[in-house]
Amino acid sequence: MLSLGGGKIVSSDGGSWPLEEITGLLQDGQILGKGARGPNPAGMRVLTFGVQVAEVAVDVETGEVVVERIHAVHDVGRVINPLGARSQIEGGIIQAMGHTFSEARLDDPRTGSILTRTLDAYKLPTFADVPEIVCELVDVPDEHLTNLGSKGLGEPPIIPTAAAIANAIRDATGADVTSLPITREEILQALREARERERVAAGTA
Amino acid sequence: MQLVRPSSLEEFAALGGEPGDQALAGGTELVPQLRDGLIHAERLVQITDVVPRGVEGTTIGAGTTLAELEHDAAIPEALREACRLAASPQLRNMGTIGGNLLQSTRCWYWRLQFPCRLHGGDVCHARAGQHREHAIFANDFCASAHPSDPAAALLALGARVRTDRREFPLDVLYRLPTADDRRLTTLEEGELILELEFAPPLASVYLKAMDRKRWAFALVGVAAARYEDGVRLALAGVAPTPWALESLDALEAAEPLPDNAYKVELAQALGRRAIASVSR
Repeated sequence: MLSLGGGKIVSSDGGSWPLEEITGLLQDGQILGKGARGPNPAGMRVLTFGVQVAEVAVDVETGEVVVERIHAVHDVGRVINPLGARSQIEGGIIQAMGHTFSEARLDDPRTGSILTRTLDAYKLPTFADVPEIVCELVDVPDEHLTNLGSKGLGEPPIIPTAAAIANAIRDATGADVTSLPITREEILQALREARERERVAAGTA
Repeated sequence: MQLVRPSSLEEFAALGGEPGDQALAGGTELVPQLRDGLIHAERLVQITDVVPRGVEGTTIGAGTTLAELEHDAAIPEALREACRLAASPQLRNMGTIGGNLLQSTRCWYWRLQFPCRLHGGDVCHARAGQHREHAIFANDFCASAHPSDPAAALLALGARVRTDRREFPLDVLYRLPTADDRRLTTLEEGELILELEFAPPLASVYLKAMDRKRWAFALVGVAAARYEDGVRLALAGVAPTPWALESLDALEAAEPLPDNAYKVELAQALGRRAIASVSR
C-alpha cells in the first residue's frame, strides 16, 4: 500500500521516496488515475460565494475608465488545484473586462444583420486592458456537500466584476451606469446626469 | 492571381499599369480586403523595392513601416505617437506609412458590402442605423470615418506628398465623396506615393480615445503641432477624410448623428489637452 504525503511517496512498510525521484524514473511514461466524488447531497442546494472589489480611475472629461485593481475572494469549498483555481478567477475577470467595457454586438435596425462580425469591430479586451488581479481562495471544505467538500468555480468569477466596476465608478464620480458595455458615451452621459442631480439637489437645499 | 515584383521605379513604370493591378506593400489592409471580396485584383504588384523606405531629414519614404517611424527619434512626437497607438505590433511591423494613408474606412456597412454610397448605392446605411463610430463632420452624403491616426498627425505637421507623377499638400490627397464620384482620394489610376515631407514643429502631440486601451481604431484622435505662427490641429475618426481643424471653436460646426455626439465632447477634451501639451 502506497500513499502520498509531504511531497513523498510513502510505503506502508516504512519506506519513503521523494516524488520527483520516482516520477523522474518514469521518463516518457505516464501515471493515469481514476477517481470519483460522491453525489451532491439530497435536499440541499450547492451554492458558491464570492466577493470582488474594484479600484478605478475615471477621466471625467473623456469618459475613460482605468481599472487599476480587482480584488477577488471566492469560496469554493476545498481547493483541489490552487493554480487552476486562480487561473479560473483571473480568466473570468479578464473576460468580464470585455463585456464591461468594449464587447457589443451591434445589429442593423432595418435588416437585423449583425454588424460587429470581426475582431476589430467586436472588441475583446487586450492585455493592456487587464487590471492587476489579487485573488484569494477561502479554502474551507464545505462539509455539507460531497465527500470532497469542494464546489464549482466555472461561472462565479465573471459574475460580480461588472457590478463591482460600476459601483466603483459611482463611488468615484457619482455617475450611475446601468447598462453594459460602459462605453465613453455611456460614461459621459452618466456624468452629465450626475452633475444635473447635484445641481438640482444644491438648488433645493 | 499573379504576383510581380519590380525591382525599381523604372521596372515598375515599364510594367505598364493594367486595370486589374493592385499595389502591394505591407498587405495588412490589402490582403483582408482581397479575402473579403472588397477589392479584386488580377495582378498584385509588390512595390517593396519600388517605393523608398526610411527617413532622411524631414523626408519619409512611403515604404517606411509604422514600427520604424514609432521608434525613430528624428520623427516628430505626434507622428511617433500616432504610429505607436495604431493597430498592434505585428501590424505596425508590416504596414507602411504610404498604405496607412490610403486605408479604407472601418464603416461596418461598407465592410459588409451593404449597397452604400461608397459602393455606388443611393443611401448611407449608417445615418439611419448604427453610427456610434462614424463621422461628425461632412457626414451628409456618407458618414464613414477615416481610420488613420498617422494621417491626422501628418496633416497637423503640414505634410506634403510626392508621387511618381507630382507633388502636393497632404489635404489634396483626400476628397469627400459626391454623387458623381464616390472616391475618397485623388490619386490617379496606378499613381504611387513615394515620399512624404513634413514641416518640423516646435512641439507636437497625438492623443487618441479608443474603446479599449490598445489595438482599436480611433473614436477620436487629435494631433496638434506648434509652429512659430501658431498651433495646427487635425483629427482622426471624425469625418470621411482626415480632418484639419482651424481651432477648437470649429468643433461647434460639427453635425453629429443621434448616437455620436459624444465624439464632439471627446474632441473638445482631447483638443484642449493637446494644445496645452504643445504650448508648454
